[in-house]
Amino acid sequence: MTTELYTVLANDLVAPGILRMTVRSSDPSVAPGAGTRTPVLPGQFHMLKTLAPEPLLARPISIHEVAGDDLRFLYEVKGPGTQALADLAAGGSLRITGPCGNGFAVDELAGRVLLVAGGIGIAPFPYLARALHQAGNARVTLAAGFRSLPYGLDDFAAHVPDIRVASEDGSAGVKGRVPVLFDPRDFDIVVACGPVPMMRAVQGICAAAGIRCVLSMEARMACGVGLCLGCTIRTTTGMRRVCVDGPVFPAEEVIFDAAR
Amino acid sequence: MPPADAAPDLSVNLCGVVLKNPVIAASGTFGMGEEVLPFYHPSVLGGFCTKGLTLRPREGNPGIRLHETRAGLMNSIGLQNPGVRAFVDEILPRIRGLTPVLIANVGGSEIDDYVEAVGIVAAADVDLIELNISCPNVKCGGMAFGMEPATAAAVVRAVRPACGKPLMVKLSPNAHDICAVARACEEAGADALSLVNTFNALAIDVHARRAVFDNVTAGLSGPAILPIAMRMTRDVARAVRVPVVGMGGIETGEDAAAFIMAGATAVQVGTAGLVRPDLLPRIVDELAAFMAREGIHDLAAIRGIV
Ligand SMILES: Cc1cc2nc3c(=O)[nH]c(=O)nc-3n(C[C@H](O)[C@H](O)[C@H](O)COP(=O)(O)OP(=O)(O)OC[C@H]3O[C@@H](n4cnc5c(N)ncnc54)[C@H](O)[C@@H]3O)c2cc1C
Ligand SMILES: Cc1cc2nc3c(=O)[nH]c(=O)nc-3n(C[C@H](O)[C@H](O)[C@H](O)COP(=O)(O)O)c2cc1C
Ligand code: FES
Repeated sequence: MTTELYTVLANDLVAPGILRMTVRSSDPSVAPGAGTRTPVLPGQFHMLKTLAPEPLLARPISIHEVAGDDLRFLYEVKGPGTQALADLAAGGSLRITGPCGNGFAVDELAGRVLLVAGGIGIAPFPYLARALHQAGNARVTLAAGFRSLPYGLDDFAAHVPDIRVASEDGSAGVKGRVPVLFDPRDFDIVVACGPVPMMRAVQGICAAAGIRCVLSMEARMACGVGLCLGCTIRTTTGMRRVCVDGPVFPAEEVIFDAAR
Repeated sequence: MPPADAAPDLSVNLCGVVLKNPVIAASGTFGMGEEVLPFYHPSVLGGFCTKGLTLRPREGNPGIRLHETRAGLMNSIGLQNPGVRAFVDEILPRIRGLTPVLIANVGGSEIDDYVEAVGIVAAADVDLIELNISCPNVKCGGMAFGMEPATAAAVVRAVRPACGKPLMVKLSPNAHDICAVARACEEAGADALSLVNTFNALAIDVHARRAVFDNVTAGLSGPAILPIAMRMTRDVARAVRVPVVGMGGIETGEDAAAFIMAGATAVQVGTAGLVRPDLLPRIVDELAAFMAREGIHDLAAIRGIV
């Protein structure tokens, strides 16, 4: 894990409000290809911050793809932090801390694997799908739900034979929410990433069917590295930090707070 | 007179505890010290404060715990910690070697609990106790003690005999008269004072028409509070004879120098180290570079000059 300066190679709109950014380390203190960095695992994330003083905190963004030392992110503009990222042009600089978190246990994902994505929750899955394809032990299905038009699906074509799409407004794929796309009993393990209501639903569906499930959780973060206890969630093994104990947790361990 | 090109001496003496430099990591923003190991070894700092410890384990507050404001961070962590016994038995042996100066931060909501907790931690291998009488998050808790001189003095007087280590009392900026609280703590036996803890603050989600935090208010830290924290540090440093550790929004070596000019013996850094986990050693380097540039050989030369 390091904190380094990176240069933006590309930062392009792929759908309304959704951008894909590729960055390369430009930190003079880290020699290119020196191999001093920790390898980035699928499901890990980085803390991204522009060099401007505001907004103050870095934002957690999942690793979307890696190519050599270059990192790629897929993100949705939600507020000032992600807007500041969207405003960066090629050649711009940002400070990145990472890789953070545990990531997916790729070797435990074997057999019929279902990836369930809700909206921007699709971001970590291309790198995971590629890793699973390379490991060769999994047959991967993607079930992706969107509010409206889908995005990011082209990243899967090479590694995922079965891609299913739902949209809440019916503008693409099946009209409805992502659970309409699958029966968990058709799979050995389900991996989910998306908004809390979706995660809660997937947790319930898999528990009822007795199918193993892991969730990649979200939380507001300040540090991303375990210093502040700002990102904790309730689990069956106590309060855990999403940033270092997660973001990936076995679904049966996660206790969702009462809806508010 | 040391030769003009001698490396500046950053060491400070904090109520008998010698720190190699005046930069201390602030409680609650440094985990238990182990978390920064991927970035640097904490022994390069003057010392670090543990997360706030309480007699019994605490889960902390439910709901949203963090909210960013302009140039600031609001938090409502609620003193999540494993309790002093688990700290002493399980965590302390792991982290003791990480720093020459380990400061155990102790919080509480009852005087008896403070006394018992401090007794347990002070008997273990820590160098200093930082008594948090100012945490604004625990309902009807820590806040009450630090708000008024009489209640603050009552905790310090009760804790003092149980504390075989130097005792630093961490003041709340929310007190009506922070200098009066400071003097009361000094008279009750504090060996040092640290300030400031977070400012009690409010954020409202106008769309939901409710407070952002379940506890309604939360503690504000970060660059937004620096000028007020610096003023309070100066006021308190002039009001007491014991050493004062200043903090609030420090981001650079020059910020640290400014707190020392305001009268601080040492400083703590919190929020800035969350924003950038590798920052604190840079603050030490920047302070050393500032001293070298300005021809300051010893921090005593600038302490309290403003
Ligand atoms: C481990 C992890 C991985 C993530 N990966 C991605 C990713 O690959 N792509 C992507 O677009 N987003 C990702 N996110 C979410 C992203 O971090 C937030 O959308 C972002 O921090 C919002 O910041 P903002 O300043 O733009 O908006 P803000 O104004 O801060 O927030 C806008 C809204 O988002 C909510 N929010 C703020 N921070 C978070 C957060 N950390 N998690 C969830 N909700 C939040 C706020 O409550 C508010 O309603 C990830 C979050 C985590 C924890
Ligand atoms: C996330 C967070 C957790 C904190 N937890 C504690 C704590 O447990 N005990 C304590 O005495 N102060 C705690 N503080 C206060 C800091 O130690 C410090 O007094 C305050 O943040 C001001 O310094 P800063 O502006 O450099 O952050 C916490 C602050 C933050 C931001
Ligand atoms: S974000 Fe600070 S501990 Fe997780």
